[in-house]
Amino acid sequence: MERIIFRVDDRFIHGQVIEGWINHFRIKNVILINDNIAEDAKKTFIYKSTMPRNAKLEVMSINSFLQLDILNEYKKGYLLIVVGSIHDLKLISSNIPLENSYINIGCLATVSRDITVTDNCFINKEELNCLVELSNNHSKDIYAHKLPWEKPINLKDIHNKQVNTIKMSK
Amino acid sequence: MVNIVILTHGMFGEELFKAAEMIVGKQDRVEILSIQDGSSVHDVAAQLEAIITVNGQYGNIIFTDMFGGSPSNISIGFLDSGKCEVVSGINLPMLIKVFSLRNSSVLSIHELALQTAKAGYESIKVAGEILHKDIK
Repeated sequence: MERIIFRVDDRFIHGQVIEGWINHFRIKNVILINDNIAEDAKKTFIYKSTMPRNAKLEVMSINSFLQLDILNEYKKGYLLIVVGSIHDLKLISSNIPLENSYINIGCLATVSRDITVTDNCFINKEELNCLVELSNNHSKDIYAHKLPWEKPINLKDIHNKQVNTIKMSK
Repeated sequence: MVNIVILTHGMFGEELFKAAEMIVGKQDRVEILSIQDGSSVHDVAAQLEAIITVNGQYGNIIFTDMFGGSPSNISIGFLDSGKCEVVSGINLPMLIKVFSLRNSSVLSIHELALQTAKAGYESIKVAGEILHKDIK
């Protein structure tokens, strides 16, 4: 596993992220990137208060993240970076240090989404195309990966399945 | 009488409430919400807000299953001194305690929440430890 883990999760920091990722990899540094939460002191406090004892959470806006020199600021150990949507992942993609990063998709609610990836990950066609485009542009596979000990699903496979289904129905 | 909201992952809250009613009988002014796989946290927050608002005159205590989980994260946003309290780590003794205490008008919502939490801590026992102490 690469040491910088990017996760798309519309529940941000929650049980699965804490137990599955932060505790499992003993991650000490977590960054939550979201413009609304970064401006909201109460929400920021809620997420910070959920951190396990040895982990530290920073909440920042997309713009602040884009100015961050990640590899210099976080030289050692695992770093978890959480965004709330595929749209936000695209916005920060220019500052993802690809060689050191693993990109995964966690919980995405069913709202306006018709493609089932896992039991708690749903996406729509536009989001899937966006992920495949990001993946191709950066030569980096992106996975739906609920928990580290479960099998990751390459989003390209989901995309190919969709394309084949459309071809067969024609 | 304060309104009780139970918000948990899956059907835990609903089943826990059924278990509590088996012990203390039918309860009024209780709302159960859950987060399922694929649930939108925004939708659940909107449902919770509607319940909190409708029962604003009684005050609300929201019980969640785990601090740091989505039900807890959503609920803490509604924390409102003297009007709405949030207690995580719900278990059966806590629910029974709050049902028996909430009729008392003496207790503030905060005090009620504290006493319920205390019942939760005190309810957890390792039988082997109790036995060990008694034998000593």
